[in-house]
Amino acid sequence: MLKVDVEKNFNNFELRVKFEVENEILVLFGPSGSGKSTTLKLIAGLEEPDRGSIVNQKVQFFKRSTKANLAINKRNIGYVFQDYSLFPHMTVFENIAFGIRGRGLDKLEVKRKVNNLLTNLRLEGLSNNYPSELSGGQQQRVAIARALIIEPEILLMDEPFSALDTLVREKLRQDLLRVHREYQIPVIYVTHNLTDVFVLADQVAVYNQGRIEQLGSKEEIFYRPRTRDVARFVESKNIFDLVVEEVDGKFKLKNENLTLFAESKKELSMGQEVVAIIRPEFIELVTAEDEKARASENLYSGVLHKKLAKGAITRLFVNQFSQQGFDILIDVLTTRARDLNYGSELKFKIPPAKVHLIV
Amino acid sequence: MYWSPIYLSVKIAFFSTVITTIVGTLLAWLLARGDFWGKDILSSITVLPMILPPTVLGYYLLTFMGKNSFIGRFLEETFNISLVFTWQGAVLAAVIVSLPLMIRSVQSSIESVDQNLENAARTLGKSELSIFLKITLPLSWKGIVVGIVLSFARALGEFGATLMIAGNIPGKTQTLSIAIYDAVQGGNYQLANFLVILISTLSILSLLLLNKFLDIEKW
Repeated sequence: MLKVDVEKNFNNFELRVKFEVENEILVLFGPSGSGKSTTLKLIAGLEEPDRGSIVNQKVQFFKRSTKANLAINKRNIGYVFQDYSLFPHMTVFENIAFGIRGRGLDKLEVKRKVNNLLTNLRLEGLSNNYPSELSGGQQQRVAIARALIIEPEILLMDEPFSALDTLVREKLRQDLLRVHREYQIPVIYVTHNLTDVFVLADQVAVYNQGRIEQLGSKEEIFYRPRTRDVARFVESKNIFDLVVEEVDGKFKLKNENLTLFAESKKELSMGQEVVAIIRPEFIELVTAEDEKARASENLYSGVLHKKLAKGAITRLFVNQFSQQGFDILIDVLTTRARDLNYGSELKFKIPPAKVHLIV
Repeated sequence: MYWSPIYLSVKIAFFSTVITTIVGTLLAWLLARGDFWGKDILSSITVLPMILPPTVLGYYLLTFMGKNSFIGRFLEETFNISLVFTWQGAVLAAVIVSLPLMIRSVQSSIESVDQNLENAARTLGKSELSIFLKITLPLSWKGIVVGIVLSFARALGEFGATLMIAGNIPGKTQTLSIAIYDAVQGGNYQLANFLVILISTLSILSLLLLNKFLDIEKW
């Protein structure tokens, strides 16, 4: 287990984070400049914390109070950089072998280890190529192999796939999941890509301005964001400031544009201000036939004025509060969205149980 | 008589370049990557020989390395080496004047090596020395080659500081540049022309060769 509890001050920025990682993939997620990469550098020893401690298993990487600061090259950490940072003057083979050169292994042993990784990361046949002759995806796989050869106790990855196109990214995510299953070590993965979070994360730490705003499973982050910013970062999209009007069974929430019923276990009182969050995929379109059969609460209508196809699903922008130019965003299957025309009136329903409240 | 100054100059330039390359590369590395007190001062001192007149440098060398100086006496008594009026003195003069060229060239080369490459090597468990030898040095080879060529040329043409410390002893410390000066002073234009054409041709050839060499894209 890796335990991190550190502070680092820059001119006008202060990083203060605390978390623990088991043999799982922890994704550090958040806007750029929020301190994610700095956290990796502190763990690796590329930067020194101003306060706090970092402990891996029982090994003290850093502790301010005892002045303990283990040298970078003694921490046994795999680090994968955003720009790959392969050694341009070495072949793929030499790049991967670099970490175990000079450790007293005989040539055959080195070759065997490198070849294993070449196979594992789909790099066969490229061992004599130079990095400049490889595609971005290949380069990043070499970088991962190079980091893994020293059998690191922790793997740190700084936006590793951000420069790659979607298809290559998807393949590399699968590579990473496979490698993680095999090596069973903590992986800390920095990204601002939501799909990365969804595919890779066992745990997510949502960063904002040098703090971890929420730490939890991806379900918690996506469906139960703790703050407005987290809701925004995970693209909850429909975020409303409302005031509690009734607390009788369901909550009745209201502002000048919207009345919304919500079910929640939270304790709310009359007149309290809350933030209501409804993810676009939770809003249901209602057709004329089944309209009467449904409960009448949280039933709205609006004008469709924009469609954004995102592959299998399409995001609808429905102008419910025309005078404010305020949109409700609804995700529907693309096959369904095809039949919907611009300017047409849509009826939709927000299930009260799907409304998440932030107090 | 014709060849003695040429041989001497090449010998001095050779030894000077060897020393300059080693010392200059290490200093360049310290200045590019080091983080220590007095770095700015060291950086200024290494440029100084480019700014000071060669005669001033020569005078400093005479003062601090001469027979009556502490260092001069130490060298004389311990190693039986005298720097005044000897070819070794001329080597020292050449080293001093060519070091700034070497350092500037290698330093900017090292500074252009991506530090993340060095960081990557650190995380792979490598020592600083190993990183310098395996990563930084091979990636700054162009700067080192340029530095070697410039230093050699500078050493070959050195005049002022050499004259001050090594003097003008034909066959012993009379280098090419000094021989040319001497020939012109003595009205021996035949010798002067020969030496001037020779050194000009050599210089042009070495620059052509250097450009050719730097065009090679290794990776």
